[in-house]
Amino acid sequence: MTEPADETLPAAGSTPPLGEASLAQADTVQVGKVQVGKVQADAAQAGAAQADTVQPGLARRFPRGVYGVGDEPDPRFSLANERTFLAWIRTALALIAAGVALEAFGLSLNSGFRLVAALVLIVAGILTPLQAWFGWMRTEKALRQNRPLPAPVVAGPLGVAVVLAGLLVVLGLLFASGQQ
Amino acid sequence: MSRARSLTDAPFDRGLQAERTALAWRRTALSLALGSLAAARVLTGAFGLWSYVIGVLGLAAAALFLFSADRRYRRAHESLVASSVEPTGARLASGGLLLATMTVVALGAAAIGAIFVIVAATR
Repeated sequence: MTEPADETLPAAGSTPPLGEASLAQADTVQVGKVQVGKVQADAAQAGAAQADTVQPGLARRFPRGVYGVGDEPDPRFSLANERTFLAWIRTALALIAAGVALEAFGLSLNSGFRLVAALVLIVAGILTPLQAWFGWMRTEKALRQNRPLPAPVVAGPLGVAVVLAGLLVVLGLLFASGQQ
Repeated sequence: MSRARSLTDAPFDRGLQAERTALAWRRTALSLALGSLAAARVLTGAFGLWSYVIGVLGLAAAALFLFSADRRYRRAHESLVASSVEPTGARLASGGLLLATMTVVALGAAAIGAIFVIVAATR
């Protein structure tokens, strides 16, 4: 933001102010100085000088709750956030597939334990995409506001769910009665 | 000389963030396609031919993610390489993220529904 002014200021100082052209140049440099000073004051007040960097229309990007606040982050951070979202989505697909496979392939487990294990996995697979979406929103917002990143809310419960499903499968094996 | 090259096809950063994101979309689309095919096959017992509707919808979503991710990668790459100042978050269509979320939630809901249908039928 200050780069153009920094480039023009030494040039104005090096050329002697003679004639109309150099006067005009001095004027523009002064305008540039005033603008920079104003923007810096804004930045000091609001903590973000985004007024002339955000292009019109970009603030209306979906979802507005995310893109309406803060400053444009380093695009690499946004891309990493998007990959985290996708990793959660694939985790959810794997959980659902595991739950369905448990029931669909008619394994000779105790059917009660098997059913509960499948339901635990699939419910976890339904909650995980919600973590993906809301976690992506919260992280993108934090990136834009230069705040610390939020922790994934479902990480703990998800771990518990997977352990629980594993225990239920073990119980299903132990109490297998050979039906179905 | 090197600048002209960087404007065309050299990656934006050494971390290959945009490339890795495009690949992440690809494997997500692949997972979704496989999951949809498996659902079409496995949920037939509960939903009959409707399970094929689920499969086709899932495949369509996977194809949509695949192609839109490719297109978005190209645009993100172009805008990143053209000027690193321009905000490229605009190129990340968040609608696609929401659609992916809802697709997987729907798939999970279908799975739960199928299990309840089967359990109800066997009792």
